[in-house]
Amino acid sequence: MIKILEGWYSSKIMTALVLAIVLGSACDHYDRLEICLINTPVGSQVSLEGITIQQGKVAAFKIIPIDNHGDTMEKKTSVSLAVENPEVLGATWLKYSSETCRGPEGANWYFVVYGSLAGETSLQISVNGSKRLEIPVIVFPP
Amino acid sequence: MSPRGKILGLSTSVFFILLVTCLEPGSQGDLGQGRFVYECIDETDSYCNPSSFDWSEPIPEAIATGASFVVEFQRDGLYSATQVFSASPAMLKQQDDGFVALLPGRVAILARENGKVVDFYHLLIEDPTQVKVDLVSDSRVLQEWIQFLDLQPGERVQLRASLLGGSGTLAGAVDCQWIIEDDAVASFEPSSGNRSTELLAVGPGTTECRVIMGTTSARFTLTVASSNEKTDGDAP
Repeated sequence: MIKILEGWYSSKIMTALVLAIVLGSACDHYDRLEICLINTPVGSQVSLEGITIQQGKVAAFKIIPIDNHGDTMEKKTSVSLAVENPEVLGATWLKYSSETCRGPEGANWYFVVYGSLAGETSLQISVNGSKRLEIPVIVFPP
Repeated sequence: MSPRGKILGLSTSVFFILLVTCLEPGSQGDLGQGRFVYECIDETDSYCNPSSFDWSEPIPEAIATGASFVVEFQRDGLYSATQVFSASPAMLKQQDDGFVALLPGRVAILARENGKVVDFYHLLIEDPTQVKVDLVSDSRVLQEWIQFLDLQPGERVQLRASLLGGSGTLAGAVDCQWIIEDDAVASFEPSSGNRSTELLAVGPGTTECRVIMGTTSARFTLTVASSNEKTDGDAP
């Protein structure tokens, strides 16, 4: 009887341990964003605090999602951009790979933004479909 | 391998690398992922050499406002299934298979493959300030900046106009027209559609000649001597 109970308890402990490990790894959740600049035109400023770019010019960068342990999130994490007024600023994916920007190889986190028309708008950054940041944008005339 | 052989091998490799680099058409994109190739649309483009059959050029220093041109994108020496588009349609409008420059300033063209940008290049657009007319012979410049021209009746000369701006010669195809005030004195052939033309002196007299390229123009004065003057001049 005692042996049966011991076996029952040990299997419960094992299950709890496995659950703790699974849940623990699942707790590596989103914490913040980093930006790694690849190509920014002279006179433009691109950061997570704000973007100032001249009409007609293009800036290329990588958005890196960081988890609560300070590590880059896994490759499958989706990062997307949305512009409040696409007539002012264009934003799209960039097919690129940089060794100087951290993050898993093959992650789809590269983007370009370009000043289409002088004006003001905002750029929203979403991670796994959740809006995480909204950056004010100024496009100044050529 | 002997040291001399190694040096020879290395020199040959460097030579071929340089040769391949020099032979690559167009200009490298800002991200270095491919090359943007400028293609001349027609004979009115001041950047393009009318005698050259290879009209795939590096991106010019500057393009004239109002001018049209075509840019293609190549990766690994091959034209890829790429769409080239303008960062600012207000400055550089897409038209047919190419672009029309609308506003002066720097504007990027971007190459897109399967929904993702792969590279881009910042072009310079400038307002044209003047037109230069040169006297040429088989693409060789005989005299630059023609202001006055003296011809004999029946004489034919070749002229070529170029559009200029702050950066020098401006690229892009523009409307080009050659106009003569008194067509009894001389005629242009062709009189439009080409920045190169032939001027034929018909009869004696003095007249104003004009070339209009886009919104900019140049004038020069043509004097065709009378037959007597020619005879007198030729007399011993």
